[in-house]
Amino acid sequence: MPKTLEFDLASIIILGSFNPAIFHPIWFKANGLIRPEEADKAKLEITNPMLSIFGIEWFKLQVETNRFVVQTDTETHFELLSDLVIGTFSLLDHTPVKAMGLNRAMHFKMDSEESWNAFGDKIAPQDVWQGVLQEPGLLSLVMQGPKQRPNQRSEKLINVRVEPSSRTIPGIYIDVNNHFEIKDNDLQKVLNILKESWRDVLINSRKIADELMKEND
Amino acid sequence: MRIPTEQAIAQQTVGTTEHAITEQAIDEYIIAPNINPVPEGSQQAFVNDSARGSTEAPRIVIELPPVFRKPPVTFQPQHRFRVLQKFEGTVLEISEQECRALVRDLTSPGYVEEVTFSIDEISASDRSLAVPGGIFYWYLGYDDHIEGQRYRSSAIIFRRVPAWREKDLIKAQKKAESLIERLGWKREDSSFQR
Repeated sequence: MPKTLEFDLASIIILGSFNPAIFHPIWFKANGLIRPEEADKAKLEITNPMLSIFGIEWFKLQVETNRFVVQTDTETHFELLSDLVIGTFSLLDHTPVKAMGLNRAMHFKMDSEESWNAFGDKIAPQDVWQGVLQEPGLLSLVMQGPKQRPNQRSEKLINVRVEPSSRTIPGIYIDVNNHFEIKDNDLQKVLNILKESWRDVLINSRKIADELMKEND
Repeated sequence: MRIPTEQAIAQQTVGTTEHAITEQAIDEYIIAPNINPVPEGSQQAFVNDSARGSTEAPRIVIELPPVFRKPPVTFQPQHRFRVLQKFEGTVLEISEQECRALVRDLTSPGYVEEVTFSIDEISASDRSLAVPGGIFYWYLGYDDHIEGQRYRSSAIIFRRVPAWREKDLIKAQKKAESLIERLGWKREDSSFQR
């Protein structure tokens, strides 16, 4: 079934304890993490002790006291996104961290409403819902692997979210969240995962999306 | 049997605090308002999404004093670069006119080649990073603009990682000295002898 990847976004999210006020374009510029002209043209949304939000041409950053989020929709900068995070936390090397998410979100444009509906039907059969809901339709579906059992936790989970795309109609939105639990506030582990796994995560996330879409062929 | 993760999530929420934290963490990851905002409408296999904006909790809730409340910012790209081929390169030598580098194809792993290109290909702000050993990414593809125009394009972008700090160097030196001592090697200036 013909489909086109219309939008492709990568993000790195770290949960822990942060000081949002540090995360200012001038700090990134002073430490050589972004180009001087990028810092000068940065769109600063807000910066205060609770929240910092700014964006430059290729990424948008949002830091709260318990969450660091950086994302880009520029494929040429997917690799550089991890460099930015590695550089940032190599400097802030006493930051306590508890989890990290490496994410790739993709919007596929479908060639017709029929193929779009066929995909939805395949991934969440409507038969199950007949007699339960009137005109049932898929709003959001999240699958997780590996399956979590009581008193068991995996250090890595993959959550795949499928929704109708709002950016391209008719389209499918597939978001692959690679969730890493970080024990003992081990920031070095976060950096190692980024150094060793970021590229593979991006490739595998795309493969997951392609595999789901392939089922519809 | 088709919804095993729903069972898993249910177990998390009624389980220990540890599991609850895990589940919460997963929720916190979702930054969908920026990524997949509410669609205008859909039907049949997918639901008309107008309900999402009504009673469902937003996925990101940031409580701030009213003065700080701002509408969420979304990407509105004016152009999009579609990558056809990408390489990772290491600078071997650089002169005033040219840069010699070893590049490996990231789209077809295994392909490695030495190339020479004009330093005009390197943006002015990256020139200071273009030194022997410097690592860059080289992208070839289409640059699609919002008005519909497509350009064939090439981009060289140097990696920006922080320079070694004094404390990192001291730490590495101590580690090396400890290793040398354990191996029973003798140190003489900049060279080591068994």
